[in-house]
Amino acid sequence: MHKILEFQVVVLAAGKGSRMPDVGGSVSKCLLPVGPYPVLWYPLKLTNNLIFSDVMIVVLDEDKSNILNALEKCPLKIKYELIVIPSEEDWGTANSLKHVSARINTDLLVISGDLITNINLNDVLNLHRKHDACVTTLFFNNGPEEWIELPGPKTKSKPDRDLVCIDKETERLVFLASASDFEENVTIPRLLVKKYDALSIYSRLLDAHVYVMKHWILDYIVDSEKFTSIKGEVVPYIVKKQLTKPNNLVEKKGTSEKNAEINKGIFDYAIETGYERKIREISAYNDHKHGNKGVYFNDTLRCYAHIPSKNTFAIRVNTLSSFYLSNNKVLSKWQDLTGSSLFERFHPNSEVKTKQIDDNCTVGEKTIINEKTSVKNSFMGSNCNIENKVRLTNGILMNNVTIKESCVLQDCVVYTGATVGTNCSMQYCLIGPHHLVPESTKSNHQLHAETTDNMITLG
Amino acid sequence: MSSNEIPPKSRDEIKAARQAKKAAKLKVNNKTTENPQLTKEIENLNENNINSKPKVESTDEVDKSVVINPNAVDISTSREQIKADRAAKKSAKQLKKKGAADGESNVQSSVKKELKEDDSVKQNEDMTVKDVVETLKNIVSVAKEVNEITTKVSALDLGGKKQEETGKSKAELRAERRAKQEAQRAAKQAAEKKVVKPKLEAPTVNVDVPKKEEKVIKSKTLEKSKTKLQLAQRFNWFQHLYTEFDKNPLKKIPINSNLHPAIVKLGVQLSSRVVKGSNARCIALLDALNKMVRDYVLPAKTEFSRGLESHLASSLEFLWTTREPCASQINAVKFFRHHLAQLPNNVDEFDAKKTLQEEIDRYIREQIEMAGEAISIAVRNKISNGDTILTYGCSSLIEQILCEAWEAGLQFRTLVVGSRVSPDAAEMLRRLCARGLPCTYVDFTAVNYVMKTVSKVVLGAGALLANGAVVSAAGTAGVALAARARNRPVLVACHTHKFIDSLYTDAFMHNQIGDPDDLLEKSDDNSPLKDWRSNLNLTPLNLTYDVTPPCLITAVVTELAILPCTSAPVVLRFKLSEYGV
Repeated sequence: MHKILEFQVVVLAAGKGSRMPDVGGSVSKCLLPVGPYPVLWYPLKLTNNLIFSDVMIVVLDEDKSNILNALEKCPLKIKYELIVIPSEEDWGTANSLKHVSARINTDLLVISGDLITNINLNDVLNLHRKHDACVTTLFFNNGPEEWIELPGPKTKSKPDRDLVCIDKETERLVFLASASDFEENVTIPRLLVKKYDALSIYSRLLDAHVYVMKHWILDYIVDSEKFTSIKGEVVPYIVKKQLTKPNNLVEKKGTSEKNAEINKGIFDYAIETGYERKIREISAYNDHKHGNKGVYFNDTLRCYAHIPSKNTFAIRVNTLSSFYLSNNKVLSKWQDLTGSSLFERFHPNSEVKTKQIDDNCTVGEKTIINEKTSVKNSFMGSNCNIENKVRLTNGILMNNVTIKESCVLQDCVVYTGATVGTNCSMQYCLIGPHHLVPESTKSNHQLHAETTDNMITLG
Repeated sequence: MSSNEIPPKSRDEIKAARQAKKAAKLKVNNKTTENPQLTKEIENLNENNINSKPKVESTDEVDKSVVINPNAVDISTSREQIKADRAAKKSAKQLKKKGAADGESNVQSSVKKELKEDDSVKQNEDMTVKDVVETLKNIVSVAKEVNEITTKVSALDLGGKKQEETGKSKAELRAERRAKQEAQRAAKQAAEKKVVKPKLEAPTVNVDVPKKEEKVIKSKTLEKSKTKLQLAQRFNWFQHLYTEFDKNPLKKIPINSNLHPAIVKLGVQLSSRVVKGSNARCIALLDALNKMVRDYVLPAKTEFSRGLESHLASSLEFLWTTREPCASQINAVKFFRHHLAQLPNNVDEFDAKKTLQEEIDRYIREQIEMAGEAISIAVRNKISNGDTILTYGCSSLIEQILCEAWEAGLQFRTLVVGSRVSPDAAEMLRRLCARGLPCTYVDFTAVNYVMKTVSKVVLGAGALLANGAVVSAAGTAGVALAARARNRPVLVACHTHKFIDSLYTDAFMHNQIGDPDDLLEKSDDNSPLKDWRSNLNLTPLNLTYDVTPPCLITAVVTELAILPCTSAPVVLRFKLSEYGV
């Protein structure tokens, strides 16, 4: 039987990881390893749990083959389709959506490719359905990020913060802006204060970059051509537009048709085909108690934001700290995240000769761990070679890493193809891709990368 | 314990018991330092004596019928028995009353000594000896059962208990109850170890005990099924209604399943009560069906009506799990199915869709919109200038009637009655005020008071049953009753598409359970209902509908005519011929 899709899923995985430290060479964000699988696997698994049948993944041109390879090795039951966008041009998320718009003919669920969470997305979808919203977003209120000592040079990174204003009772999103837009004072439209008696303003929410959108919003994005980013431009614009009244349709018809087409505003896209308006009018439901306005204050545009309870696990792997943190936690949350226990911590093709390897480790394909090594709490990608007498604690090794004899690595992240010479002792270090660390190096909080001729010391 | 029927011998026994009691009391008075527990103990003993009397009676009766002359040997053996029994009883009691002071046992023993003496006095009297033996045996068995039952109570569930109880005679049951009571009291004393006022429980014992027993068992079973706590916390009489307020089906909605998105959306809106009110639900259902028909793609080699029918069935099955259908929805579905079945076999897909969509539009236009206008005009003719109209809750039709009457230039005042639980009436008030009608809002509790100023009562309806009863928002029946008490005319405005040919006379059989949390005063943090989920003895019940009997309704205003309630079957027959069902 022919299915009528309710939502189509687009996973945006073309991020370059601009908030990650520059380690030289290109590392695509969606392929960073978290536990045994790349980051991209987790949002796909999330949609898989909801029985979405097929998913569109927007990826960069250069990463396509790598991603295809990586996803082939992961257990996934869904059909996915990679859609390539050129890597040279710096496309925003809205541009990516425009690119795929031709394939989308239903409402849209946009998921960021770096989200790791155990939330049931149905809650978000139900909120969307319940109020017939035009955009529904997802925020997490998990308190400030845990502080852990990070590898690499110490930096003072200032996380981007959003000001999010939500009507607590109805979960309606009424105000959204980036905190960096304001100096000292924040001006909130007076209309908001008039409308709602209790608004909650959050500044430390984690935006999950999950958007449920009506199809006409995509049309609007395509036609208006002024948006580049969903989060930065589209959603704040729509949230703001909730407050304005649609221009009188009758007046518009009076003007010439050409003019009308040019001036086509967002309200001209929000057309309801059926009896929705009448149903809203005669249903005894109302979402607010005071005032003499009808349900939803007679607004045509309605944005909602779902904030799940505090104990949901959610991380967006877009900074070094979240990347490191997610690796720290992923195994303990495995059951929650994927709904199944992790069977193969050690890939069947790997050679683990040492006995001193604890339960919090994963080993990738064709990786060789020699005897007399001690490995704790570490994740190893494929084709790694760890020689004798190496001690490895809290480390993340990506693919093709070689660690020579008698090294001691603690809290280090070793990127693809790097080699650590014999007898090195490193703590909290980042080792860039294809970098070769000379023998007997001792370092602490440093970045070893090819960006300069020698290693640079910033910390 | 009717003392009249007690034969003289047992009367003697009572006297003996009284003497024992007195002696015990005296002793207790002497030992004033010892706490009143003792007196309670003594009362227990007395109770035992008193309680054992019915058995004495019964045995007497038996003995009367069968005359026995027990000889000396019998007596002596019986004496030995008595002593043995007493020892057993003492030990059992002491075990039970671990918390009791040592002095108690002294008192006990002294009381028993006197009992003994009494017994010895009565030895000559053949029957009483036997009786005493019987009673003491009973006591021993009681003591045994105390242990049994304390273990059982902790281990047994209700079913097992019942089974066991059915196997026992009345006397046994009584003994058992007494034993349980004693066990409970012992436990209580052990727990409290405090000075407790001696309660005069003796006469109420038999009433009290079964309740306590039930409670104990109930709480035990509840503890066992802690996972089913929600299930247990349901009102017993309405057990059959608790099906829909599980929000779980919403969590499991399969995405991109065969259901049409509009159906899924409607399901969510129905269960979250965003779409409520029978007209709104009916239109919303038809609108969703309309979209479903529009997007329906006929599978190959299938007849249109058959293919759509199966699709419709699965969609409706999903929708009814989110909320039970109301009368207007049932009728709308009936209508839709009728037209679906009417389609010719070889109909073109496009034509069929067009026909169905037109029929849906026509239904909404004729049955709801135009009918609403007709009703509005009919009621408007009944409203005169200077009237005060009372209405209850929120009804889209009443809103339409009042607003149109106001716009037609009639001068009247509206009294909106609402209950605290449902925000509907406030919504009604808001809508009327927004249109400029002079309104007054009163709470349901004030209905009687304001009724004397009211000239007409106009009510909305959720459904009209074949017997003329009106199913409407909970509270409507109360308003109608108050109006009848003051002899005010009650008009029920109801589209004929809400007439339904089912019959029930009370709100118990068919109803819907609302969200129990609506009963809470949300702004009040100290609300006693706040933690009702953790209190197993507290069950909030929020019924959605009630049934107003036809005798309270003056007339029903439909688009056909203003009818008495009793004409409902006529309307139903008329509708049936219209559908051709």
